[in-house]
Amino acid sequence: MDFADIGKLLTDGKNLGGLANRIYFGLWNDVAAWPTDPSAPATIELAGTQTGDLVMKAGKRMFELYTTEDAAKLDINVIGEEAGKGYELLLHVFAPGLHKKLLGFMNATKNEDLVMIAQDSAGQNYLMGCAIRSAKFSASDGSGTGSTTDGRRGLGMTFAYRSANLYVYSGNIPLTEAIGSV
Amino acid sequence: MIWTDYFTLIKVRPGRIVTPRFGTLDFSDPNLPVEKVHALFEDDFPYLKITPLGMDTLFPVPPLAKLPSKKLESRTPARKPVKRKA
Repeated sequence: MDFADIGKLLTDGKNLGGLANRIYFGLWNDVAAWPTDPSAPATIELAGTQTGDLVMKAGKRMFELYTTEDAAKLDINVIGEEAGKGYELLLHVFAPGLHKKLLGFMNATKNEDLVMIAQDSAGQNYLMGCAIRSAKFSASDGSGTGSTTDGRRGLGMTFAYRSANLYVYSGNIPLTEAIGSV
Repeated sequence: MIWTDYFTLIKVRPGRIVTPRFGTLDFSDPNLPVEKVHALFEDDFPYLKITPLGMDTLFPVPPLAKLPSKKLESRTPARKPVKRKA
């Protein structure tokens, strides 16, 4: 792979922060096929892009979770020691309300192997999960009723995923059941 | 004409799919713009198959142009005599 100059690269000056109001989740076990990581990429741009689609098993699908505006973010942290560095992606979301569906979601996912996709304000998707490692429910921050009437009532959740490299996921997200797959 | 005349959804039940190009599209909606579905198909969207009508309408094969008539040489060119060393 050849290195290249990296300029400002802001299309039409756009560079809004934050995540979209919806994140996508599914069970790691329900995934039939994963997108492909770059192998011997020719350019540094290709070195940061996965190809192909996340394909679900027959009868399975990805789901959508609403998150409050300006309350979700994706942190990218470097982990590991010299010659063993990798990344930890931390997805923070805040789902408003304490309704039964939301509590059930937290109950069902807290010890589960998950796959998650977060979309940033530029429309780029980040996949958390791969063939050998899942995303995990890691922590709850800011969950509860809030202490004042103008406080925030809902569930704050953090999901973690560790990866050797960072990629943009450029495939589709099926929110409808797969048929005739693996 | 609606998009389902030109394309068939495959591998998933009709429903919503988040696409990188157009965001969330509901493929149970017969009123999805044909142009969008056509563009997805050209992007190698994995959940679409084109119908025979779609093939004829969206990817028409131009009629074969007539070649100018030209007399073809039917004879094999004469072989050059091989010079032998004395």
